[in-house]
Amino acid sequence: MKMKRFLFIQIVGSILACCAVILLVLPNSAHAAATIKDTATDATDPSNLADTEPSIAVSPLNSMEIAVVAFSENWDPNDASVMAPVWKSHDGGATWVKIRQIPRPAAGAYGPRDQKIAFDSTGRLLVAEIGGGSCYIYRQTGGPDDPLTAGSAYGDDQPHLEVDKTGGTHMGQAYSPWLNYSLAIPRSMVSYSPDSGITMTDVGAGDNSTFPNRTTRIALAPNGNAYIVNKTREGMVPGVHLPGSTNDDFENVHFRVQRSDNGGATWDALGTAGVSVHGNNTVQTFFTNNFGVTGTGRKVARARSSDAWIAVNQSNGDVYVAYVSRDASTFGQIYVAHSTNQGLNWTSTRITDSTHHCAFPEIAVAGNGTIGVMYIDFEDTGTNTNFRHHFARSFNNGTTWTDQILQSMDPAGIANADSGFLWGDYEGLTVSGHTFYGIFTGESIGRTTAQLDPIFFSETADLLVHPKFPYLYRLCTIVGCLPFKKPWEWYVDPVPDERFRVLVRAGGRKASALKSIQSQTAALTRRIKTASSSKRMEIERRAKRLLEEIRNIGY
Amino acid sequence: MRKMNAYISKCPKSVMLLIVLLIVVLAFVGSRGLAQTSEKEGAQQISSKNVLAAIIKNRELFGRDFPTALASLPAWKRFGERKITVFPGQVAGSTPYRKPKEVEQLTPKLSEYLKTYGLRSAAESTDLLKGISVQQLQVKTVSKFPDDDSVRIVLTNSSVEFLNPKLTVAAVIERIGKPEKIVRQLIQTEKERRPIVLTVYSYADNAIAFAESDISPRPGSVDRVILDVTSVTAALFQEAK
Repeated sequence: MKMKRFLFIQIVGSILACCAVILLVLPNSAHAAATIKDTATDATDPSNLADTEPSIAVSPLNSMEIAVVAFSENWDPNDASVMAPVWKSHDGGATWVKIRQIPRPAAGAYGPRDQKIAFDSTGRLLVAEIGGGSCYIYRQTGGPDDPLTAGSAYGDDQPHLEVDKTGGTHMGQAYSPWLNYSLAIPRSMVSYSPDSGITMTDVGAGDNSTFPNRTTRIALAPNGNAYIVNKTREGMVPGVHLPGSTNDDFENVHFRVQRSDNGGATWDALGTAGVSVHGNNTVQTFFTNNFGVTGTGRKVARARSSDAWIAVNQSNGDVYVAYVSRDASTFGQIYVAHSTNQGLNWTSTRITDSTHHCAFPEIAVAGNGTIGVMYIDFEDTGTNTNFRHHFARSFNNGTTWTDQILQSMDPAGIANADSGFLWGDYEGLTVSGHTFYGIFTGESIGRTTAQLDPIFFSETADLLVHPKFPYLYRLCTIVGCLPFKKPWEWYVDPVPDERFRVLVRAGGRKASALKSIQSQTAALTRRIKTASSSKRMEIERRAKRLLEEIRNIGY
Repeated sequence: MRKMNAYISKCPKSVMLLIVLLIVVLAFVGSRGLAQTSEKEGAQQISSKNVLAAIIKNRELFGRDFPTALASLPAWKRFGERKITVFPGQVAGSTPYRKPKEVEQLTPKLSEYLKTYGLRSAAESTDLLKGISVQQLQVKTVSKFPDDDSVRIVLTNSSVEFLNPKLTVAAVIERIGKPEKIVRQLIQTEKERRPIVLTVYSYADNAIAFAESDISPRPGSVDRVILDVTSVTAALFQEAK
């Protein structure tokens, strides 16, 4: 009997030991997960608003300063003192406050109806808004939290916004793409402003000679050249439906990139029609109010201009476009097109796995070349629809992708999730240094009433998980350490994480503890290069303990 | 069929009698049920009419010029609108038009109906509509109606106050009870701007509804009141002969 018990303990003990070793050696997916935070609380969102169509910007001067706009509250068209809010974080997204600083642009103009946020090179906030029937760029004329000032009226539908921060000829130039719906054939426009929206010049950019345009997005290159992507809508695809839908839910399009080399005066640097990123043939994309599964008790989303986004690598000027294409898999899929010659030629790769319909791509590219794409797919469980926000990263220029689900949500039971406009037409993704920052409208976290909220996330652009030493690698990305490259083919910036620096700067007991961890980490990185394999395991365990210490300190 | 005939013929008379009796009873119960249903519906209609009358007479719920908006109902009915929406400063028809040209010929018609369509108040509403004239209202065209950028025909006047600007949904419920139905209604448009979402609180069998808009600067406030033209007109007016 004793023998049997001894054997049992031995077997269980061995299994547990094996598990522990495997956990230490294998890449740790928990460490690869993004930091996710609901920006709203019961105190800051007492009316339980839906907070749809969010966008995000990070100050170029201090990545701790993050600003978000969503349809959170409205200004009063009849009272200039009642303003719409900007969500702000001063600690890299850990906590958020709501600053009411967007007044009505003109008496009687209701809103906001569409919006996009950006910082200029001096860290001053700009916001593009639809108020009433027109667009306006708001600029910061006082302190960071003072009421913003609206500029001139321009434009029509879905304004976006980008500001030249390059230090070149057009430094400070604000660009706002929008769709001119007043024309017989709607056209992509880009208005530019040298004075943050005080004066606006409207320029026709898209090719609407035959087909209407839609989905205009903008990105600026490090040399000051401006790129837009838009689509030419070339007819619905008959008889192709989303689950449960009886409508035609897809259309034939070309996704075209156009470039302006003269501060937005003209958009013909790639020819008047631009360059199709997927070649001569059209692709099929969503044009539907039924993204999801149509059926009793189910909710669906609008996906009509939710199929393209553009970004430029600020280190080398490479241009990237994320777009939707319903391919041979019969699912709408996310593709990323890449150009190394300023938009002349493009190479496309699919980033999704052909098993679900995917749309709403936003793309950003970090200075180290890591590509980040946020997108949404949905899973039909038979009775429910789970919409899933994904964030995919590629550390090798699009060859392979690391995908994580940020959140899975069934909106059926969420009272303020309105079928037909669940999160909006687009959401927010940007990058600062080696960190991606995103905002999406998802299911609330920790709220008394389940609802839609703006959900913030951040994720490193560094290859976070080294196949063998995930804890040490994670530690290095936080505290900074000596750069070490091959033989492990990974690289850590010697600059500590911004939040870490802030805590150290703050001084006191926390700071001295963190400094001690920093010096221990540096010692571990020096030791690991020459350590035997058993010693490396010991170093990795030590790194794990240091990570726990950092968390205990309140990092 | 033959088998069935044979079976029926073999059935004892008493069983046949029982079946016939059962059919008669069922038919009787059914007809009674139907009668009860129509009685119920009738009672419900009367009840809805009473509820509606009580709501529209509640002065605390509306602005000082709400009776003027009510007085315009016969003209709207003649004009062919099934629903009208009452905002603090205007009464809007529910038909969206694409271009201002489409309504050029229609607005004079509504003006004419306002002037000429003389209707007497129903006895129970006389006090409410006493001395009310729709002549102060002007027929106008809104080229970009906030909900959907459509062209709409509205009745307005610079000084009118149809709704109580401080009215909240909570106050409505406190005064007239819980709504019969609450529906969230998303107004989708061809454009890509944010669609307006209304939360509609219906009373009196949908004859009147108080709606909250997600574009309102004050969450929880009543943005508009939607009236069913036929039901409210019937409750308020007698057709002039």
